[in-house]
Amino acid sequence: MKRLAAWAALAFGVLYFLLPLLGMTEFSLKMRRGVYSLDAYAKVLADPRFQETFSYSVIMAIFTILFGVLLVVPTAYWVRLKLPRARPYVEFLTLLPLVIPAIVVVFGYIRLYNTSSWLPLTGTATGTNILLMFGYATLSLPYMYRAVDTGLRTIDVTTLTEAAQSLGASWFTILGRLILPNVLVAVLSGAFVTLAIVIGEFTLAALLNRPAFGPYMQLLGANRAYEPAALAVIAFGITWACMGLIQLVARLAPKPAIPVKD
Amino acid sequence: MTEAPYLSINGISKSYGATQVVRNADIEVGRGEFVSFLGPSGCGKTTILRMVAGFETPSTGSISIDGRDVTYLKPSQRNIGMVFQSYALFPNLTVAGNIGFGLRVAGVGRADIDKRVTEMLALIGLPQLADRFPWQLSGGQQQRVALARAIAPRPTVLLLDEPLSALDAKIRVSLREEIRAIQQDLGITTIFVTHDQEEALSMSDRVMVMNQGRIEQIGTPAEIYNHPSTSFVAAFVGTLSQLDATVTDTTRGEATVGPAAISGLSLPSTVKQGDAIRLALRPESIRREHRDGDQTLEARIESVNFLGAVIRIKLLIGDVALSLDTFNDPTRPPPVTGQTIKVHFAPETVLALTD
Repeated sequence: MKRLAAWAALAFGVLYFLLPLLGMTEFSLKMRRGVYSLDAYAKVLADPRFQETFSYSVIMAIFTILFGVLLVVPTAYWVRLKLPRARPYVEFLTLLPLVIPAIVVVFGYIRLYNTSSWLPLTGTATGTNILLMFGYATLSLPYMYRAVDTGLRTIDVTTLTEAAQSLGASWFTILGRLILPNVLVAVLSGAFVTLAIVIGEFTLAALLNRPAFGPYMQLLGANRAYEPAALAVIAFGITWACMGLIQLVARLAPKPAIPVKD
Repeated sequence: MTEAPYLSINGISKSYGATQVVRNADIEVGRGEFVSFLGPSGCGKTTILRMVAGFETPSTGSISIDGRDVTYLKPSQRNIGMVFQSYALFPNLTVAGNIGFGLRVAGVGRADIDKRVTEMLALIGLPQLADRFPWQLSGGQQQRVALARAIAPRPTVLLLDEPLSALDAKIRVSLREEIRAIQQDLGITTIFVTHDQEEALSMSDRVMVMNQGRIEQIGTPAEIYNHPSTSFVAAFVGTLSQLDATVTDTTRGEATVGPAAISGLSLPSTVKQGDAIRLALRPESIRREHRDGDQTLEARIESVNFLGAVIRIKLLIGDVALSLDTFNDPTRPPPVTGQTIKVHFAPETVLALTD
């Protein structure tokens, strides 16, 4: 009886998640009357604005990931090594983007960095791109920080650092050659979440008037019937591919040195 | 130690807030000497080691190596090799990568690193494991690699922080012999921190016993074991029976323990007749066979512990407890609990403790 209930719960869960996806996928294939076709996908992929906005968002995601890694890995490492008491406060700070809406963040940015401010980042396209990257990094901070912090928890940060120091290593060497390679899986999982956030983000890009994928999806959804569904399926495909990559990389990662039995 | 000290620890103290964990420690270690820091958990031995390594800064005092003051140098600038209890091998590097890490950081050329790594692998007897990762090794193998990694850059001093604590008993014994052999072979000045007295006594040129942040005694293993200078050292190193006694005659070295009188004791010059002192006897100093000059006591067997090669017998003299170790003799039946026997010991083996 218990087993039956468990199977029923599982079936309900699967249907709950899969049915809408199946419905959307089926709808995306119905562009040609009476038959299933990939016309909607072909239209989306052939649209130069799709290529343009998608490339823009991927490039922004790469820069955001690099900036996030440079910001988060040393911070999380230092907090674990030297400021363990500050960990709850830092965690709280990193969680703030979850409760502060993106629209508040972007209005704050615009007020602080507009053309008449002391640092007029919005005055140029490059400056606005940098501002957008900071915004994306802020939005992905809760996920990136937690992923890296969890990765650091699996290694003995203090002893490994001391071992490296006693062998003459500088802080740069310790971070680059020891800490980063050992939390690479965590960094990558944070990176893929960041990629997913950047690809789908609308508010920051729209209000900073940048040609990103999020506003393009919104525009397409407001004006077309079948293409938005095809676009959503493509976006799902990208996300799942990212998750698959996380799993793959996790298998290749260095394992903690728990000794085999003597 | 007759020659000039190689490593000098001069009057160092360490406090965390109001808690003083090391109190005015002075230690001098000769070149190539193997010194063990022995003491219970929290006695400050690891803190001193960490100050030598540079991971802690002394609150007062100084540390010098080969005449160079290193008190405030960064750990990476001290050229000290360190082996940790938890091995601390870098999980992302192979055995060869771990051993060569210090040399790579120092900018040594690839060919020289390979040569030194091969040397080190031969030294620790694991030449076939160069390409393995730490998680593919046993605890004993990991600790050997950690040792090779620490000595590969030819450090001035080797620090071993309880390196055998996490290992099985058999591996521990074989590895401590290997560590000592390698240390003697290379002639490297070594400090070994342990709370295991057997390790300290069997491996060291000298042992420093610590308690509550203070150095209780520094001496050779034989000095520490046979002539402990404080009751803490006497009790901490080896098994010891302590007997409360009253001095009855200082000229004849006589004291009473319960109903029994013992004479011929080497009493400290400071004690007077009627003073309460503590006498201490090692289990192996007490015999069931009488020899000339022995003191004899009558005791009741309280319990018998069969330990294999040795039988440890707990005795009661009145209400005073004593331990006696005797070799197992398979041709004779073991002693029986409740039996009254005569035990003997040489008075000079009795330690008189006044503190």
